[in-house]
Amino acid sequence: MKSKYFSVFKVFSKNLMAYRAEIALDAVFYMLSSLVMVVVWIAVYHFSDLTSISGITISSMTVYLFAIGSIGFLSWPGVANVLESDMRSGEIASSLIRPIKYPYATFVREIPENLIFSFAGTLPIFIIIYIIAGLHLTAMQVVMLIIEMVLAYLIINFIGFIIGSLAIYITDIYGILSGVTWAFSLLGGGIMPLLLYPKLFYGILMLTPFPFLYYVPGGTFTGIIPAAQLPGLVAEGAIWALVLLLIAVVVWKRVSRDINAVGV
Amino acid sequence: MPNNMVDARDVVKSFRTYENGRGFLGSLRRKSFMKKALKGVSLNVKESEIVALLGRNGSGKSTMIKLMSGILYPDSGSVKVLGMDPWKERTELARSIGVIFGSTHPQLFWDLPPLDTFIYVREIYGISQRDYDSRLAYLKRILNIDKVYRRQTRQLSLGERMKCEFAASILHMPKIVFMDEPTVGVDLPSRIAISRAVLDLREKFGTTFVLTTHVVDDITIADRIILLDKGRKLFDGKQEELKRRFGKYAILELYFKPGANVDYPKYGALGKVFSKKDGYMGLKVNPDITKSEAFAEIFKDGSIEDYRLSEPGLSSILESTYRRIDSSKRSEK
Repeated sequence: MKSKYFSVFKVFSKNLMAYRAEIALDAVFYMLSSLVMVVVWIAVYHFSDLTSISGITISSMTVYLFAIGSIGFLSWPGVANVLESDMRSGEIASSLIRPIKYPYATFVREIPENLIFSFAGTLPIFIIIYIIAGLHLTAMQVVMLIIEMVLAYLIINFIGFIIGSLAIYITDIYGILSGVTWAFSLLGGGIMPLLLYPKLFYGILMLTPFPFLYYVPGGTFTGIIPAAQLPGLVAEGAIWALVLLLIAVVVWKRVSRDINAVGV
Repeated sequence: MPNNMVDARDVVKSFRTYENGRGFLGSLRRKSFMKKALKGVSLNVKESEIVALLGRNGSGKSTMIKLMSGILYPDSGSVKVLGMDPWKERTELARSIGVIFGSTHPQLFWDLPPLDTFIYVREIYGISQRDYDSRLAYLKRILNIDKVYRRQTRQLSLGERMKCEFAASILHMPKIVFMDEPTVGVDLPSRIAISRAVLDLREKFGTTFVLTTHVVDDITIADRIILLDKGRKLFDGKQEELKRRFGKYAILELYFKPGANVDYPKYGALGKVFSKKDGYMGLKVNPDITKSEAFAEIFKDGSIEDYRLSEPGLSSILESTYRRIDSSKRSEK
């Protein structure tokens, strides 16, 4: 028998196709935010008369900003939105009556959208930047980058799942999610490379899961992070993903008893 | 196979709920309190039975359905469905039960045709292609959905959607089906089709049904009625028994001659007046009224052109039952 979760993936992929035009527009407008960041940094370099800041030149910065912009397609905790919407509308009831495990299905439901963004957004942008900026990645760096992207996806969505579970108690988590997403950008290198932060702060941040959301994959792609550091970083990211998974499991076990499935 | 498809004992379930105060400031300060949706309900459902769970809004019907289908976890008491604990063995139990939540929690994918949901159901329940084809053919015929199940769900009428929801919940041929207000807002032909399908499934496959509804026509197919009110079970028995217990009256309708000088108080003394219009009076009376002297007396002045004595309908019985509950609670206070 084919996996039940593959069926979940298939049907949600098909359902998503009803909104293909909206997804394309989302992608276009999303990339505009990277453009804004690039303009801001060009101004910073121009008016400060610096050719590099902490060893990062304006061209590296531009590449980095476009790279993290395209990574950002995948660094959105969509699982949290699914949980909130299911709790708020009570539609979680419709999922719980099927012989599937709700948390797994929630993750699988998000994959089609992320795959579309990966292949229609992230990948082409990466290729364009790669060619225009004349980057050179070794095979090992490419493999590490792919693993890092998967880890970024898992970490953000495990955190999203933990936050989304709060919707059982407070229903509207939009404010929390919005704040947390901004914090992730700031602490994860989604606004600028973490190297530009004070050394101590940078050192502390590198011990948290946040750099794996933007800085590590963005830094790998642009070469800001030396290749020799990548295996260690990937191992650390994997440990964080595992820790967050365990927390998500414990949280779900606790909160699932309090589901009321009433809806609005 | 346990004979008791459902065995619930002393089930208690509470929810935290909120209440806003008056005005704008009141909306900023809300009080939270625990609401007991079920206060120790016990019930059982036998194989191939059709049981209607009745009660007003907030009586605990939907909570009971959600507990039996494993969505909710009881605070105390125990629920067993097909011998399993619905919450602890939810995914396993889900293979043997079907659940329909009316239009509130749809199972059909809104942007896809119901056919895609049917295929999804086939895959996640591991239904063989042969069984799927024959079951779908049967459901298409009995529910009359042949012309609609390939159209996008969002384009279907509520009745068409509900019939397809029903089909999506039945395709895996569950042993027991929980239906939570499946016909709210649904047109008459669709309601009839669903009721017919319920009876047919019970007859052909021995399927057990537990349904909650406010639609009296739906109740008529039930073998047994369980009446809930404010989280407590008030009645558990057959419709006839409900009528005997709560419907010990008849409806007497009097039609007066045009232009007759009617002494309304005199007729009102026969029972409790529930409707009075020009030339018409409706009363709730003792069923034996026609044998009484008082009844013979009213014909003497020649004002009555016609009369009709009938048994109260189920909706009247339920209404008077709810009224009786409310008045007894008021007098207790």
